[in-house]
Amino acid sequence: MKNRFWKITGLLLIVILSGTGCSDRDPSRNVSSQAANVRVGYSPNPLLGPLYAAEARGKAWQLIKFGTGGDIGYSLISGDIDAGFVETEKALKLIKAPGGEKLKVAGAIQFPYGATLVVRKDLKVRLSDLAGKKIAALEADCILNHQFNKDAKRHGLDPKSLKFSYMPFADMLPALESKSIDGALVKGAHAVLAELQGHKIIYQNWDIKAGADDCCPPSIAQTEYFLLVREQAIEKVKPLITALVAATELPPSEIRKVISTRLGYPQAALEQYPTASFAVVSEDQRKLLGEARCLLTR
Amino acid sequence: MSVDSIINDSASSRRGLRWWNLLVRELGVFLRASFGSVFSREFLTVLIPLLILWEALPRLGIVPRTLVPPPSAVVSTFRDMVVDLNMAEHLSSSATRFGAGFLLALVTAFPIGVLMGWNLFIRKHALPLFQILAPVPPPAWVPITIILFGVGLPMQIFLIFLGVFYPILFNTYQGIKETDPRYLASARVFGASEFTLITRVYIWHALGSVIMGIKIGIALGLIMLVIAEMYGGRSGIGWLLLEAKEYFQIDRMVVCMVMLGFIGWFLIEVMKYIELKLAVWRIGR
Repeated sequence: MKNRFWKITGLLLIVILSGTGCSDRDPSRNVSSQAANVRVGYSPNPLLGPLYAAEARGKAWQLIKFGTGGDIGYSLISGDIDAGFVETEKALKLIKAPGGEKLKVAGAIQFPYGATLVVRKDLKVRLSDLAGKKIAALEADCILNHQFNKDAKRHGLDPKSLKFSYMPFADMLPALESKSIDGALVKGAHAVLAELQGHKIIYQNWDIKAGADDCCPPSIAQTEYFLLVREQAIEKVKPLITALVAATELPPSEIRKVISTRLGYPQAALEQYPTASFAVVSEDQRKLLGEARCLLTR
Repeated sequence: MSVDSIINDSASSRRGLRWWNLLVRELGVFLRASFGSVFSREFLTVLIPLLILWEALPRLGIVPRTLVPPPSAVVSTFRDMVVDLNMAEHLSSSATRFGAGFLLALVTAFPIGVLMGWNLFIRKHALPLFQILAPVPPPAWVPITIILFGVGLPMQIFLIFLGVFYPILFNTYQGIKETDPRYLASARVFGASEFTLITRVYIWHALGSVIMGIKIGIALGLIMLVIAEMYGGRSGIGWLLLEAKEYFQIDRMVVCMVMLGFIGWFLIEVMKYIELKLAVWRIGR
């Protein structure tokens, strides 16, 4: 009796499981999954406005979300994705890493350089009150520092009274969050991210252009992401590159709207900033990276 | 110099010498027990072929050398990291975080576990809460922890604490609860108070379970150390591992993984030594 009960239960389970496997699928899903066969990796960031704008215009590629640029890099190497947006420093390491020789740089997301001093959200200070505070900066001999020092003196702050701590841009926001520094002298792109995290901007100068010193070669300094493409997927990705260039031509308000919709940031908070743009590999980048590592679409 | 001071000096130097001899002897026992298990004939018959395979496969090109660095490359990278990256400082940062989280978990979980195992009233009121909270994976606590503590050392210590707390708590509770009633009855016959029962019977009976809980806690605590070092700070073995991963430095990643494994093994060997000394009746099990 007991044996028969288990046999019937087992049979029922098999029938149910087979039924779920054979359920009707939406036929249109198959068509769209074949069309959207360009898999593009990204990690959500307001600087990827051109990508969101290109996607919002209904092009057939599949955006795959990742936690970090490193994960995107490994997925590119393993072939899980066809293209990916990787942060500049990581992309430069990736193309030299094992497996990276099969990747090509197809373009870059760029943002105006500028100089911004961001202070921790819990500090209520003005520029002239910063004496003795710990400020992060990229390097001592950097154009951001030189310009800031000039402007700070005009506003009644002696730059020598600040305690500078030198670190890469990518480490400055986490250091602000962990309260190990009081402020950070960042480039434009990181100012956007800092303010969206609630930190306060007390100094900004958009007139600074990258390239006046060795620490910040212009072709890299203003680049926030490189679009890396697998060699085997170059033809498939070309329409994406065209769409990204076209998306960059859109009015900034439209790009801000898609960023706001996509990431949930209030559009008003994005109004005060320029928008990022996508550009194909420039002559300077081609010289820096090597012609073999670049996908030239011009 | 008086005769008394000469006698006192020689007595204190004899005491010092006695302590030194004890320390050296116990260190020898510890090293023999810990490294003895690694360098035993039985384990070497497994370890050596594995090492040879690991060295040979990348060299022969069967696996990509740059994706699977051989042991010789790992040793060379370790040497470079010690010199270039100041590994001692990173080890010290990780040790501080781990030590603080571990000790906090030990001093809270152990007494709570003892109380829950000893007293039915406390058990009925407290145990269901811990049984509900325990299955929540410690990494799931990260967002709430960041909100409560911000990003930094307190958050990191709390995450490690969460990883270590529950194994110690439940193992202590179980060990205390399962104390043989005959021992308790015998102690009561001789007039033992409840406090004496706890300190002389319950805790000693549960010692094996407590130490097992600590060993499990060490493993989970090291996992949480790596997760904790993702947030805030720019130091620690976990942070080095994640930086190496993000910047595609696989050889450095492997060095950090091996170091974490070694640290975990070493801490567990320390616990085995403590068990050897405190739970003499368990030798040979």
